[in-house]
Amino acid sequence: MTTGMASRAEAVALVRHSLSGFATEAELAELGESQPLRSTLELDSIDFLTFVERLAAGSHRRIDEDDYPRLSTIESCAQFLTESR
Amino acid sequence: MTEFRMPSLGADMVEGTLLHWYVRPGQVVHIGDVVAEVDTTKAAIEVESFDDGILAAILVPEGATVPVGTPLATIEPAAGSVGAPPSAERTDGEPAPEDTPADSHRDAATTPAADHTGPAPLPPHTAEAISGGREISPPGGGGTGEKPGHDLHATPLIRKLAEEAGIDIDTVHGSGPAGRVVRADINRIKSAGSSNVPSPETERRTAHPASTVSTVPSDKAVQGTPKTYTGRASGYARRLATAANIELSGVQGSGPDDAVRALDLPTDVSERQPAPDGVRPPPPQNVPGDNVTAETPRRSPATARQMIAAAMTRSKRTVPHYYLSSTVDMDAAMRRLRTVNEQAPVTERIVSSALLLCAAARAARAVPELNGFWLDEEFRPAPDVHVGMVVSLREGGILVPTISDADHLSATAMMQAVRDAVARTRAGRLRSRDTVQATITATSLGDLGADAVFGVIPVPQVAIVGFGAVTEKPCAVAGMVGVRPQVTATLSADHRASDGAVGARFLRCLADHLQHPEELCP
Repeated sequence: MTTGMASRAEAVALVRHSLSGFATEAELAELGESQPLRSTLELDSIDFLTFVERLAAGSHRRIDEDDYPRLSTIESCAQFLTESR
Repeated sequence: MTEFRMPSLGADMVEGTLLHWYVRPGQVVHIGDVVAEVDTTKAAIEVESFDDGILAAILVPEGATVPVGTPLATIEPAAGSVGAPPSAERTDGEPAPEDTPADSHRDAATTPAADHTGPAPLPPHTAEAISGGREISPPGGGGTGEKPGHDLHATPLIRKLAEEAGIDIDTVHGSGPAGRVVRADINRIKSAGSSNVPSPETERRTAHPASTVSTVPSDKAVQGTPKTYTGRASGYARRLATAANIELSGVQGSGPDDAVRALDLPTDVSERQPAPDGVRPPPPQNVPGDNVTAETPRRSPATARQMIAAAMTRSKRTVPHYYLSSTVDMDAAMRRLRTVNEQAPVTERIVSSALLLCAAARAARAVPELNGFWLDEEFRPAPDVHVGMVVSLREGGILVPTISDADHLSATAMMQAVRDAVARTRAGRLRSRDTVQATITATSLGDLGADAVFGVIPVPQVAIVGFGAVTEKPCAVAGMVGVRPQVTATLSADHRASDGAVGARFLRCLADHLQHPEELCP
C-alpha cells in the first residue's frame, strides 16, 4: 500500500463520493472545488466525522484531528490525499 | 400485563397511523424486538418491545390512526421466559427491518429506561391534554390483508405503498442500499411502467427519504373523509378542509405537483387553525360499516413546518421564558478530547458536542428544578434525565430524538447514542427509544457556526440548553490575557417553574463538569 493516492482525479472522486448523502446529487455536482465544504453543505460535526471516516477508509490512510483544517475544500482534500508523507 | 402505546415525537405530535404489525397474538417477543411500525407526519417509528413476553392482543389494527398514548397491544409475561437473553433471537425467523449499530449499546444505554418508562412517551394526562382529551376510534376493518412475512427487501411502509399501487414488491429491483426497495422505486414504476433503472432522482430520494413524501399520490388517504378528493394535498390541508367542510377539488394547490397546502385554503379556514392550543380539528367521521383506511399522516415538508409552527407558537404564547448565558472555558475539555481522539480510529472519536451534552445531562440531574414538566399549573420534576437533542434535517425542519438516561452516559456512550440517533433521524426512521418523552432539551447550533443559541422551550418541558461554537477566544488567565477555546452555553427556562438563580446554578454546574472532563470522558 502506497501512501498518498495515485492521481488527483482519483482523490477528487473519492472526496465527492464521500460527500454523498449530505446534499442532493445535483447540489454535489455543482459544488466547486474551492468552495468551503462545511459551511456550503452545512455539515455538523457528526457529518464531518462521517466524511473523514469515508476518506480514511477510501484512501487507506490515517487522518488525525490535526489534519482536519486541510480538509476544508474538495481542492485541499485532494491535495492532502495525493501527497505522500 | 403491560401495554405498548402509540409513541410521540414531541409535544406537537398528536396522532400516528399504525402501518404494520410484525408480530401476531400468541407470538413470543423479546426486549428490543421491533413489533410494529407507525407512520407520523414527521417520521416513521419502529415500535420496540420493552419487555420479554407473549403478545396477548392487538388493540389497534393496521391502517388505524390513533392519538399518541393510545394502547396498541398488550404483552403478557411468558412462562419460563426468564433467563432468555434480551433480543438474542428474533421471533419467527424474522429479522428486524433495519438492525443498527445501536444494538451493541442498547443494553447499556437504553434498556434501563424502558424498564420504567416503557415506550409510552408522555404521561397519560399529557397525551390527553395534547389531543384535547378526545378519543379517536380506530376504524373497523383497517387491516390491509398484507402477509405478515417481510424481509430486508423493503420496509413495511414501502410494502404498503407498493400494495396500494398494485405492484408486486418481490419483482422490484431496489435502488437503495443492498438492493432495498425505496419509495422512489415505487414512484418510478407507477409513473414509468416497468423501467427499473435508478435515476439521479432515485439517488437523491434515497438520500432523503423524508423528502419523498409529497410525491406520493394520496388516493387512499382520503377514503375516510366525507368528501373524497383524489388529487394531491397535504394531510394538514385535508384535515383543515374536512373540518371546514371545503371541497379540495375546487382549490388551486401551490405545493409540489400542485398539491393543495394549508396555505391555499380560503383565509378564514387557515386562520381557524387551532395550532396554538394544540387542539386539532375533529378527525374525519367514519361511516359505521364503511370499510375505510384511515388517513395516513404524510411527511410533507409543509406539514412538518406547520407542526413546528404550532409548537413554537404555543410555547412562546404560553411560557414566560427567561434567558441566561455563560462563557465556559473549554481548555481542559478540548485537551481531554484531543488526547482520547489521538489514540482512537475515526469511528471512535468523540466530538465536543457529545461532551457538552454529557455536562448538560449531569447538570440537569444536579438541578432537578429544570428537569421535568409544567403540568396542571405546577412543576413536576422527572425522576430521570432524558435529553431531547435538536437535529436539523437537510430538507429543512427539525426533529428532536431523545437520549435516554443521558446523565449516566460516558462521553463515549453519548457519542455512540448521538451518532445513532442522528442517523436514524436523518433517515426518517426512528426507533421508539428515540421517542421517550424528553425531560429537558439541548440544541447545539455551534456545530453550524452560531456563537450562541437561545432556544424555545418544548412544552411541557421547562428548559432548553443551547451551545454555540467552541472557538478560540481571548480571555483572562491568571491575570494575563490568553487565548483559549471557549463556548457560550445558554439556558432558556420557564419562569413559572424556576427563577434566574436556579438557572444560574445550572449553568455553573454545567461549567464545573466541563472543567473535569476526565470524569465525563474517562
